[in-house]
Amino acid sequence: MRPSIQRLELKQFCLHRDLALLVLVVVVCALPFLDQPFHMDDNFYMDMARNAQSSPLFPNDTFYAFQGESAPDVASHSHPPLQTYFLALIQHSFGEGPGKERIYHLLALVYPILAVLAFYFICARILERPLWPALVLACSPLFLVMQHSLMADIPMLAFWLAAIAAFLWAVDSRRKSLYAASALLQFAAMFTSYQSLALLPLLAFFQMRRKGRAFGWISLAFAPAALGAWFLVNYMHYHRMLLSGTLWWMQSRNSDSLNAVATKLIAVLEYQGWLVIFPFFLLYLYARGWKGRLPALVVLAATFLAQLRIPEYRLLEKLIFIIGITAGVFVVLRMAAHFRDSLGREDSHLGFTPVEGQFICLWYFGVMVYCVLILTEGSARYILPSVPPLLICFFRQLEVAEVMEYRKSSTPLFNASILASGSLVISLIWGLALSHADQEFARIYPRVANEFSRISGGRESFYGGEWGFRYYLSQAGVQQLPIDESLVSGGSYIALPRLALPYPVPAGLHSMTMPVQTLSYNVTTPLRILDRQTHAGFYSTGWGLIPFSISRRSLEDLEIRQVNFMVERLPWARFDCDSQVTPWPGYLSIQEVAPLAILAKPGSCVSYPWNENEALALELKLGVKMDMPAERSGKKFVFEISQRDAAGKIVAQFLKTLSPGLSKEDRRWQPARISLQGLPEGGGMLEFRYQCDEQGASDVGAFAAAVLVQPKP
Amino acid sequence: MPIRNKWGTETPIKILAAGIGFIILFSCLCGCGAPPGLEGVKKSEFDLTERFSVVSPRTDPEAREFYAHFPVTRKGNRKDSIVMIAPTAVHASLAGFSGPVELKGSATPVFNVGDGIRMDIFLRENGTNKLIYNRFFDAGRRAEDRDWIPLSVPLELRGSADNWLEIRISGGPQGDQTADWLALNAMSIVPRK
Repeated sequence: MRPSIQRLELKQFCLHRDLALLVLVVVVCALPFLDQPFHMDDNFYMDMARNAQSSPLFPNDTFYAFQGESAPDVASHSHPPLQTYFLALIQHSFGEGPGKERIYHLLALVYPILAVLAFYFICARILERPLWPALVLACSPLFLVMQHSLMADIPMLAFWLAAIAAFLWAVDSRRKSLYAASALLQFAAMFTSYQSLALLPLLAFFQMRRKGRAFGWISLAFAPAALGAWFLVNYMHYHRMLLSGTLWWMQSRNSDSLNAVATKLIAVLEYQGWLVIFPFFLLYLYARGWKGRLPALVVLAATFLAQLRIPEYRLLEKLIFIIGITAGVFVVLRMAAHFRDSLGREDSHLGFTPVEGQFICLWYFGVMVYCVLILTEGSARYILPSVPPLLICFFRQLEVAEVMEYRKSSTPLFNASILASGSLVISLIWGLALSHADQEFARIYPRVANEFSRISGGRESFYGGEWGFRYYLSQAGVQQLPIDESLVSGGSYIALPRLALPYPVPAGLHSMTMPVQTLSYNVTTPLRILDRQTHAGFYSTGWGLIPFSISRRSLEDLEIRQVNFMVERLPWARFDCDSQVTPWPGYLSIQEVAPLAILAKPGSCVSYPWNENEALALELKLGVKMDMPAERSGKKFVFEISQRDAAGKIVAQFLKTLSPGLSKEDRRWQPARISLQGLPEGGGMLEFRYQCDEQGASDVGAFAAAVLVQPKP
Repeated sequence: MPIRNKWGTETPIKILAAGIGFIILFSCLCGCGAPPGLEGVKKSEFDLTERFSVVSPRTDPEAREFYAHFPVTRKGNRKDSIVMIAPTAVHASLAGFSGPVELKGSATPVFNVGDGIRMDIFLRENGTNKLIYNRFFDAGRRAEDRDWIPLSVPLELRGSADNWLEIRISGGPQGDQTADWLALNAMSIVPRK
């Protein structure tokens, strides 16, 4: 006998108690993460929000450089600007600065609260116990991690769910005000993210099948019409269709190749398997069929896929992959079975009417289809809109199981109530653990900014990375690596991350830089949600095919380089040489160490204009490469470094004589350090002279690895 | 009160149609307009990039001397380039071209270190080599060489099937071949008016 859903009026639920509990859960779960540093693409929305204050109509109309590439504007970005306006309002009211992250996160809580409450109302329309799925949504790992960001995903989900809730209740109650509310919320969803256009066919399907009021069609037309008008205004401003640029970007990612589609499909299964409900509960409830042979078959296929697709992953990572795929496959199979059921004339096994069943499955599979076929890569946050229908079916299954158990003489160990409460509690713990890992990851970049600022000591410095790395280094006054690399002058520092999308430094500039220091950043938790080394790809499949991994290695490395000022400034230096060979930049290998150097023949002098206001120290290495074996020579080589003021007076000097033929020690690199004085009046010179006591000698001398550092106190 | 389906017969085709409509609508909304920023090659120009090959490959297979599509950035201009590693020579057949033409393109040293790179361009007609262009690139010591340098060489071709363009690069005067990589972009033959 098929179970039927007991349809309850809203007033029959403990509405106020339930809603208060949901708000409380969302707020309590968010409290430990309110001070989370800005993370991932938060930085982009913050940049646009800053621009929105000066250009409110076209907030994305600003030159923008990203990952070493630039665009005259970012209007064709993948998201319309509603979230940008929201952040602009907060920026305008509260500003930016250390510790202000919690204001942003606190105010952004309005979105998860709206999402959870709206989902409650959807569930109240089709389930007997709407509180449970709404609670699990609030506690699901994916939702928990994403609600601590300022990106558009949770806002989109909130508007998406609110639009659906209002529409479903509008169709039932035939109230115009609910249709109008849904229209506004649909527009908000679409103005937050283009994916929300999927709401249109979804709600139209429901309106058509349930024969809603004619006003329902008007409410459905409002959002696309308003979005179309916005596109038209933008067309007149930018002289191009905004989505054409979005499409070009999507095409440039080659996201429609078979390999990319397969990757996205695997990712969607992984994310569903691990990040909605803890996989044990999905597998316990869904992994059945063919008398236990189907689960074995799916595990076998997942193992084969792991060996085929990710042979380089460690055993633990393969295990995570197999569990995720298996759970994900069973979710999809079960949803497909619900879809098949819903196509019959009678109410489905879950007690949904055919229209309800079809609506839920169309919602779920529609999101799946665009995640796999249209979006550019796999990312956990992309599947957020598919979580609610999955939770509805999961909890309806438990409601049905509860009825069945009631009729049976014995109760199973994991009965429906244990599965419901277990899935809530374990998913919450799992979600908090992943959120903590994400928070620790985010906290790396303010540390990076502090340490880099200390090392660069106020000298001109540049960063080449994205996410929080970009945000916090910008806040610390570090400049973005310019698109025109010739604007980076000698003595500047460059900070490059390993994980946070390091920019490709143009080869010409890179050839003039030298490593100064590499800093490693570890986190206390072994959980990783984004790590190329261990293939954790929560935020993107570009890093790996599993949603999390376990590792104790450092998560991020910061490479600090300095542009060798002797090499970079050489075209503007003055040469005074005995021979026709002027000094040139290159590498001189002495005892198998070959640092970047200015190489010179004896009798050469290179003079650099020197106008630094502040006192600095110049550290370098000196060395000679003899033409013949050093033992046979008694030649003496003199290295002289002099700082002259505007009047030509020597204000600092360093002298070193090397006799590689006489001293074994002199056949090695010799360290040198000279304290340079600040010359506020300018007009100074820095001279590098290399001489030999023997006339006609041609042994190459090197001023190597020259680094400008802060003078020691 | 239970909500009942009032439509009547359910058919999978209707559901599928709704699903397909959903995808088509989304795809269409994403897909209108032409992609911006794609520059076409002028019809009157003939790109030689794919014609270049190494004249006499090195015996050491590990030693690369030529990269066909290598992105090189100078002053913010990133260009897909042929990169030659000194000492090496590449050539391209000019069969099919005749009359007054121009060899056009741009070149730049990839790195800013080293004692410079010498480039010689020869036109080989009927077995004899004729030097048509040469230049010394010295990005380490000359600021103007840290940018894309336009090349423009007028040629008078007789339409022989044995016409070849040969580009040789070699190290600088100190014989230091460190970082002697030269990038050539959009080398093409253009009819001369």
